[in-house]
Amino acid sequence: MKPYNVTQKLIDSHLIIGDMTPGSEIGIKIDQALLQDATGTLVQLELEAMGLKKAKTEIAVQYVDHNLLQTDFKNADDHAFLLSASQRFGLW
Amino acid sequence: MERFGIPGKTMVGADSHSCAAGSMGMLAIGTGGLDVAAAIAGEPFFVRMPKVMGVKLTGKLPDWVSAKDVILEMLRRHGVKGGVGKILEYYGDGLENLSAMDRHVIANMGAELGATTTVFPSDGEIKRFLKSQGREEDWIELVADEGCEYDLHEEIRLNDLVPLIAQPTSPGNVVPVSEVAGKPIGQVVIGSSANPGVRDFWIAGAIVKDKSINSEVSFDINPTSRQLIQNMIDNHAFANLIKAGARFHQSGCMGCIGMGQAPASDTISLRTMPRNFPSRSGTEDDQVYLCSPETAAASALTGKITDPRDLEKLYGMSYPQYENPEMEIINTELLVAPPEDGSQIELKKGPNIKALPQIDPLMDNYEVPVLLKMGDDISTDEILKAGAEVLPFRSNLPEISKYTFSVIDSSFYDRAMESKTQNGGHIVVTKENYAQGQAGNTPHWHLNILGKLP
Repeated sequence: MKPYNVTQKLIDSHLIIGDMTPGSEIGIKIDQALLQDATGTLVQLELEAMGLKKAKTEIAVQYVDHNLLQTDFKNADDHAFLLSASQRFGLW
Repeated sequence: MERFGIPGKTMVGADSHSCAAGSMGMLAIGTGGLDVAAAIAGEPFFVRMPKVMGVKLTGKLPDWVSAKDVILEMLRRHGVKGGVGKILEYYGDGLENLSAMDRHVIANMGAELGATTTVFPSDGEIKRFLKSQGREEDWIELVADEGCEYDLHEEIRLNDLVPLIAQPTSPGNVVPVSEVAGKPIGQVVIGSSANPGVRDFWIAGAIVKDKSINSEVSFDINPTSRQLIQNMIDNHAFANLIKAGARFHQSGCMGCIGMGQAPASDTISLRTMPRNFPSRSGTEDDQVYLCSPETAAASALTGKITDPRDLEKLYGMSYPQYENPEMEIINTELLVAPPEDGSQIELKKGPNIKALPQIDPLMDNYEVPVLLKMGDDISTDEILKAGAEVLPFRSNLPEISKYTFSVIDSSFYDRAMESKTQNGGHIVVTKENYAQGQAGNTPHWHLNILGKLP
């Protein structure tokens, strides 16, 4: 068995498509996902558009740490949306 | 890091600093929102296999020099493109002197080198960290095999490092603090994804303890999480900082993305944050410098950029040594678990939340005008401004499209919409390292609205 560095061990244990030749395309299995609130609204809208029933990763987490100023209704609306979407799609 | 990360696992995150989780032996990649949506839906994540740069760390950091200076040194040597197409993997006996959160600091700013991600081994230190978080059972050992190979090599002798600082307006513009010492400052910000650990706040508190910060400095503290706030209260960092004149803010990116904390005109702001792109702070022509908490706290005391090693002669201070507690105070209140069956939950959409636009499939041929020519290193802040004015529109693609490239050319949106009607679309041309600092997808979705071809 060829000695592996940590990166190779991580990729090798999750490799679904391709091989570990630098520059070549690989497909990796994903265990965990994270979202924040500036990018997460669009992602959760994408989950809705995909018709996803429940998150398939071991864990998915939606953080709220970007749009915190709440100078008008928009931020708080986003937070409420993200909570409802996380509950719907199975995210923390 | 505190509650969810597990060594040996893979993660994708819709945030460019998702890579920080590599500090605990994860493969954690910041990527576009669409990639994350696909992963949540169970699809594999596609990427070109990066080259692996092995970075050997030896020795121990001198007093007053900390983990932030390690990654600033990497930026000094390799610049903001130096990690593109690479994974940075750290190894060597120097790791024995770097805590889990020190490694977080280093892994976090791998993003500023353009690296696909950063990887550290999961060793005894990670086991200790997880135990202090009440999660020892999540630990597995994951270290490089004897005789393994790397595609590229680098070495940093920790003993040789000095306090460093990134000058405006790029994280790659790094010099020793001593070269810019003496310049008066108006603001110091402690915190962010680049210095989030309890130690980073504790040391700032230990430096300013029983003193008063300079009256011309706004000494801003952005505590990382509720849990961190509780730990800061417990280890007196909170009291030390407040008594010295600190202002406390919310747990989040805040000033780093221009959400508040905009500095005064023509003043210097020292931040332990990862980014200082032009105008990102919310102030035009800002002068934001990036440094360690030691450098930042020292400068808050003197009112000028200060090499923290000078604190010994200025105040007779010796370097405060932090000791990791056996168990951190843990706060999982308001970590809302998803229900077993969420199918009946209705999505709450306020007026600023719009469903996705219809996207036409790509054709093979287009004849469209070039509307904008740009140079190298176009940052995400130039594609779409950060800050409180624009960021809230990320759930509203038609509205946020109006801000596309507005920092570079305020007529861009109007010209693009005109071209969409007349020509069916347009293209923009740019050079190397486009979307520097990006992980999110929004910069590209909104270009679809304008008719730009992917």
